[in-house]
Amino acid sequence: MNAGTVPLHSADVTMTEVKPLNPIVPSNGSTAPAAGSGSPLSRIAHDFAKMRLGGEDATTTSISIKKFDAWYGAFQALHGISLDVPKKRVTAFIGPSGCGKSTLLRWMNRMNDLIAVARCEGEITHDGQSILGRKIDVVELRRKVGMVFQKPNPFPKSIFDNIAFGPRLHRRMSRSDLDALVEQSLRQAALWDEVKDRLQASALGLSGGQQQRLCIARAIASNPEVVLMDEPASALDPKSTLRIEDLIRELRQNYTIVIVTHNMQQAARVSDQTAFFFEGRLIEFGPTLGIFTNPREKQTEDYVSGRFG
Amino acid sequence: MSSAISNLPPPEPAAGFGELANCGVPRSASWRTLKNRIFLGICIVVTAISVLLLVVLLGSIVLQGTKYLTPSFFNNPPSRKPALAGFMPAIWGSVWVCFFCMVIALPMGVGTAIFLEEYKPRGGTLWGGLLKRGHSFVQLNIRNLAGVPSIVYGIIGLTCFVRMFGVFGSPNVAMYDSMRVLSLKSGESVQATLVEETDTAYSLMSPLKGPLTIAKSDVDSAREVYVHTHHFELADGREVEGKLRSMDGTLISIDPGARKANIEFKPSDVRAYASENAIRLGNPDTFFFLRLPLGGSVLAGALTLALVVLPTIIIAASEALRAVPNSLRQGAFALGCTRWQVVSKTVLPSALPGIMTGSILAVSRAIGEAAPLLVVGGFLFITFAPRNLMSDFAAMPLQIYNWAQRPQEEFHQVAASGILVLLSVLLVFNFVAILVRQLFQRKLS
Repeated sequence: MNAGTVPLHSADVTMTEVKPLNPIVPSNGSTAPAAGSGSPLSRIAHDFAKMRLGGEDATTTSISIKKFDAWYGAFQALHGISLDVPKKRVTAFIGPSGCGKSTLLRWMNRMNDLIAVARCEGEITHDGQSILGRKIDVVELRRKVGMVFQKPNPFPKSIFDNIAFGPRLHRRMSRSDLDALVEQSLRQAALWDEVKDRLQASALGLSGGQQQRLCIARAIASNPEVVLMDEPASALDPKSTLRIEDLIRELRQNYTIVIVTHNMQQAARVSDQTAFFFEGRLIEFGPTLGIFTNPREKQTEDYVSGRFG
Repeated sequence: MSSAISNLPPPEPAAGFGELANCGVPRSASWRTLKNRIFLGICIVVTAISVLLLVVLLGSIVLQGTKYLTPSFFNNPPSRKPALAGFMPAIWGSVWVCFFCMVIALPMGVGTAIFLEEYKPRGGTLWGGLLKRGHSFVQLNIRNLAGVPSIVYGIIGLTCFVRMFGVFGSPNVAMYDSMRVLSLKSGESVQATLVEETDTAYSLMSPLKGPLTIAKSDVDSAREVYVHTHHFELADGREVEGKLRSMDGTLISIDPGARKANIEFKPSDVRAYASENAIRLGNPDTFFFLRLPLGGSVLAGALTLALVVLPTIIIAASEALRAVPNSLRQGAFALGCTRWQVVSKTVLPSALPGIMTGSILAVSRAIGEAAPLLVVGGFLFITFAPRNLMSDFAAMPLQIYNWAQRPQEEFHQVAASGILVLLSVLLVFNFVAILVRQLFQRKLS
C-alpha cells in the first residue's frame, strides 16, 4: 500500500502556496498552543473548528449508510461501511487511492448504476428514504444529490445554458425566473462577477478553476440538498483550489457537502467531519479536529501525519 | 496491514546497471542516417507519383472537357449530336437520388450509431454478456458491410426495391412480357409516351404537346414496336423517330393497315407499369407519388444508395459519438438526465460536427456511385428531370459512362465535361464538409 509520496508532496505544495493567501485561516501563532500535536495539519483543523459556524452542535442526518458493501465484479471495494452524513455540514472522505472513498460517493447518487459490474449490499438512506433498489427514481435522486467531478466537465454550450441545464430538465420556468436563477447560482459559486458580461460565451473558454466553479454552480442550480464532490480541486492550481475551498465553506450554510479528497490540508481546512478509509474499510469517522489532532486509530495517525501515502 | 503502513527502506539500486546498458556493439550512426534518408526519399517519390498522376488526370480532363462546357450542356437532355448533348437530366437525377438517399440514410445511420454507442450493453450479468456479444457481432458486421462492393448492394436493391420480391407483380424490368397488344385504327387516340431511340438506349422524348399523328408504321407486335424504330410525323409537322408506349405501360402496336393514328401525348408521363398487381398510391403530379413495386425509380435508386452509404455513416457517427468525452455524459447523468436526455442534449450536439463531416463525405460517395444504379435501372436515358419519386432517373456517373463508351471522339469530350461537373460537385460537397466542421467547432470551443 505504498502509494509513494504523491499526496504528501502535493500537500506540501498547497500548504506553502495556499497558507499565506488564505484569508479565513488565522495565522499560526494565535492557535498553535491549542493544537494537540502541533503539526501544521492539526493547526489548520483547529483553526477551522474554531471559526466554524455553529461549532459542534447537534445536527440531523442527511445521508445514512448502514452496513454497506460494494463490489466491482468479484472485487469487494467496500466492507461494511456505516456512517451518517450530517445535514448542512461538510464531510470529507480521505484515504489512499483505491480505498473505496470514491466508490461510496458514487453510490450516494447511484452514479455507479452506469458501471455494469458494480453492485452493492446494505443500506443507504437520504432523509430516511432508501436510495438503493430498482424502484427508486434515480433522476429525482440525482436532482436532490448533485455531483461535482474531479475534472471540470462543462458542457460545450454557453455559460448560461450550462447553469440552466439542470433547472430546464426538471422544471418549466419563465425566462426571467431562469435568468434570476442563473444569476443566483453563479453568485453562490462566486463566479458571477467574472462571467456576468459573457453569459452567452462558450463555457469552454473559461479557465480550469472557473470551469470547476461553473460545474458547482451548475450542480446547485437544480437546488439539490446534497452536493457530492469527487476531488473537486485536484486538477486545479493552488489559487483556484483556494477559491473552491472558500466556496465549499460558503455553500455549507445551504447544502450538505460530501467531499472526497487526497489533500489532507484540504480536508482539514473545509470539513466538519472526516472519514478515513483504508482498503475498503472505514477506519475512523468523527469530527475533523479529532481526526487530525487526536486520532483514535494508529492507521489514521500514520496517514494524516504523512507517514504513508 | 500494519506492515504495509510501516516505513520501508529505499530499494538498493541493482548492481551493474550501467554496465548492462553498455553491452553489445554500437550501431553504425552513418548507416542509421542513410536509412533515414532513404525512407524519406521513398516517401517523396511515392507522394510525387500520386500528385503527378492526379495533375495529369485533371489536366487531360480539363483540356478535353472545356469545349462542350457551355450553358446548353447544363440545360439540354442527352442527344445523338455531341454539340447538343446535355447533362441536365443526369444532374437533376443525381440531385434527386442523393437527396432522398440522405433523407433515408442519415436518420437511420445516426440512429443506429446512437443505439450502438450510447445504449450498448454493459455486460456484467449473463444476459448482459450475451447482449454484449451480439453488440460486437453487429459492429463487426457493419464494418464488413462498409467493405462490400457497391454492385452487391445494387443486386440487393434490384431484388428488394425494384422488384420487391415479385410480391406486387413485376415492374418495368419484366414489363414487356406482360404487355397487351393494342390495335389502333386511324383516328383513334390513346395516351402514350414517345420513346426516342438513341444509339444505345431509349429515352423518353422531351415534352411535346398536342396530338401525335403516326405517319408510318410497319410493325404489328408489341415486342417489335419496342425494338424497331418508327418514323412519326407530329401534328405540328415535325418528324421524329421513336417508339410508342402508352401511359399504362402497354406498348402501342399499330395495325399495318392503319397508316395514320391520332395519339394524345402527355408530356408529364411517367413510365408506366403493366403489372396487374401493381399498387399505386397518390397522384403522379405530387412528388411523393408511390407505386409498388418501385421499379427503376428515383426511390429505388435512393434506397439502394442508402444501403451503400449506411455503413459509412454508421461508422463515422459512431466514431464521432465515441470521441465525446465520457465526463460530459457523467456530468449530464449527475444532473438527473435520462439516457435520452444525455444523448440529445449533450452527446449529440458535441458529436454533430463529426457526424456532419462523415455524412457529407458519404453523400459525395453516393453521388459518384455508378454500379448500383446501373443494376437498379438508372441505365435508361431520359430527357427530363425527375418529377416524382417514381420517375425514371439518369445519374451523372451513368451518363458519363454512356458517353465515354461511344465510339465518337466528340462524345469522349462530352464525357470529360460531365466529369468536370461531377468533380466540381464533389469538391463543393467536401468544401461544405470542412466548412461545417469548422463552423461547429468554433461554436463549441
